[in-house]
Amino acid sequence: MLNAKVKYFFIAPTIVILAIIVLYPFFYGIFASFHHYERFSLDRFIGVDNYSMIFHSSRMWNSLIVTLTFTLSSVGISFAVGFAISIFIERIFANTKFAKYIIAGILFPMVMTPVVVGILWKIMFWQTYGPVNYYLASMGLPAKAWLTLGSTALPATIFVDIWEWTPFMTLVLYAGLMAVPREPVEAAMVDGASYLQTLRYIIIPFLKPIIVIALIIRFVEAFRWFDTIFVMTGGGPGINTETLSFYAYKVAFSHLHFGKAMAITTIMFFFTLIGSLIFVEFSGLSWEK
Amino acid sequence: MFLEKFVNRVILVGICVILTFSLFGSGATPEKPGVTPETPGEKGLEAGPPESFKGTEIHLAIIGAPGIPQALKHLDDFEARTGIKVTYDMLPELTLREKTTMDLALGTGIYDGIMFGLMYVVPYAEPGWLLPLDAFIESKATESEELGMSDYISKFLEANTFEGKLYGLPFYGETSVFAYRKDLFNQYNLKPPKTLEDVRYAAQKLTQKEEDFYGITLRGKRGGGMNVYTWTGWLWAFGGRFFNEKMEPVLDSPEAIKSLEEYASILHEYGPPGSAGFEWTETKTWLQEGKAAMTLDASPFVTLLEDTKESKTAGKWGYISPSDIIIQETGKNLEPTLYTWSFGISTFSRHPWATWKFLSWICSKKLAHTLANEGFLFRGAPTRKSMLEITEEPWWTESVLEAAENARIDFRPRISVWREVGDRIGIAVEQAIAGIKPAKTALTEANKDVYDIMKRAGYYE
Repeated sequence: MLNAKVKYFFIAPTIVILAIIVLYPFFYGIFASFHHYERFSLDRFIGVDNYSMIFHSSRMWNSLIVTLTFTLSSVGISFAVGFAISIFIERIFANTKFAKYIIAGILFPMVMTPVVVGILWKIMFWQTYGPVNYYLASMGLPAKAWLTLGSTALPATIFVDIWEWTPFMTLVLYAGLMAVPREPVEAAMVDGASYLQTLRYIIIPFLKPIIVIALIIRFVEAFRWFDTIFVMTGGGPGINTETLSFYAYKVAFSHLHFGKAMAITTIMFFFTLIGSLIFVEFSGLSWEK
Repeated sequence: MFLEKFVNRVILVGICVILTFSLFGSGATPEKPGVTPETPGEKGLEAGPPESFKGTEIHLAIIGAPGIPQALKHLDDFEARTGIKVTYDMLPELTLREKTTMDLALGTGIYDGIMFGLMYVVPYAEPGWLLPLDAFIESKATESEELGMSDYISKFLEANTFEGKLYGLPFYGETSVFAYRKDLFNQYNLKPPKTLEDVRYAAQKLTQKEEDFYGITLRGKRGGGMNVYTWTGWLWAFGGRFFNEKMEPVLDSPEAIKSLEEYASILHEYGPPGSAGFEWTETKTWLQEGKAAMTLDASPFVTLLEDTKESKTAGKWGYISPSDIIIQETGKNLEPTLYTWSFGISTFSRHPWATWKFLSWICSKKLAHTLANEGFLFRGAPTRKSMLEITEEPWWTESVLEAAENARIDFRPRISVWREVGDRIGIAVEQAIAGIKPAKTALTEANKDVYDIMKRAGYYE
């Protein structure tokens, strides 16, 4: 019985710190979202007023659509590309000494600070002197002001996010591929299965838990996406690239409506929660041991 | 096993209790600010200025506006003469705003004196967060022959007034100028523009897209202090305005729509690609690099364009007060902008008199002249008439003075929810420039949202 007490003693600091730095702000945010909280003073309970105000604002719906478009296309494409690259590396280089150098090289975009990524791509897309337009022009294609055109701003920022996060997908899926046991794959090959068939019926089922985890992490990450957009477009042109996080930031620190901002972030939380649960549910995995 | 379960429960309940209490703790309403006899500032005020300031310490929140670093080099003299010890936090704009707003709203009185921009005069003065300065000016704590109130360009003082009382002493004052490339105008036989039609004609003549050279560049990026700051000049000129007498937004009026259509179309046809994303930094770069021929922007642009180290086009510019460019349709002129950085005294200051002493020194005519004689001329952003006489660059000073004297105080509405309103209007302006929405749709939508914002802020019954 002594053991039981001792173990609580040892985990207590963790629980306390977690409560202070994670749970407290979280619950406080939800608490504040039901209050009139402006210009740094939280004064009265107003029920769901903040929420109804948000849902009646067209800017909120715009942000939601931008966020969903961004999240789904970015996660989808970076997964597809990342999976393809990881298979390519695994097939060609897995047993060579090059593999680790290739992986290290691929990681480069991911280890960069998001703000630096933003600045870098802002320069790349710069209308007059930017490399993107330079190469397009040299190929005889029309140059564009990528980040300030309504039609190209969001795709351009999605592209940057894919560029930044495909390495993460590659890394995780490559690790998964390396862990797939050889025997069943070889047995299938001997029985005359093509590579696509082994991929479909053996490798992917093995990889499923890893794929789900990678997708959840990417989904959560993309859904609250803020930093590169802040640097690259500032939500513009107009509100074409204004995501939920950016909108919440504006409402809080520009308009000083903290209660309303907390309501937006609370809604975001439930969206991510539901999104993650959907991934888990549809993965068909058993999460109990 | 029982003990284990019991301990589990105790821990769980403990965490719940701690969290609940902490929620209540921080959820407690901070004291509403306001002038009460108990506030330290008020007590000190009634007592009148002390005989000696020796040993008094004051703390300020300031921004590194042009002239501030130069003025602070003289701080030692001030401290030695008065015995007041001055400490300050020099902060970037956003942080300054957050910190001072928090300090004032909570009434903590960390800062005795603060610097604030023009758009914050009303939001800070209305709830009683700042002390009116009129009584101070008359007092013996003022070094009156140094302060020189009558030397101020009057518009800058008016702009810092709320309900008849002065709340800020301007240190930095900005208006706008229309700048054009004199050399190119001569080369193409163009006359300095007198109407907006002239501007459009010149822009058309000078634009050479193959050469990557454009007739005009203006701010396009969204923001109450960004594209709205320059577009407002157009808005007034076309006979539009932000609000009617009932403070209902009238941005969907034909005049307002026309003004945005003009602003967007001149940029669309004769402006650089991607103008919708231009902040003043981009505008500046295009002009300095000799890639654009005209602009209408804040008066400190003079300094930037004439800077021989940075600007390839230094010495090639002519300047006109926007008030000299009229719209033929309406007979009205482009409206010059108005902006100040001012010093004010916090209601919660424990040393209002010492703070005033400092204010009347740093904003004084005497110090301004000292700085001017040292070579710092507040170029493009002078608050005083006499500073314009000292400078040896008459070709722009006249335009700047004229613009400042013709500017309107309510150039942008000085309302407490301006941040939100300005942000929303900025979106509409950017949408029109980027061609996402026609000016009419963009402004009609913005008008509806601005109405909601104003309604929530309690402007209507």
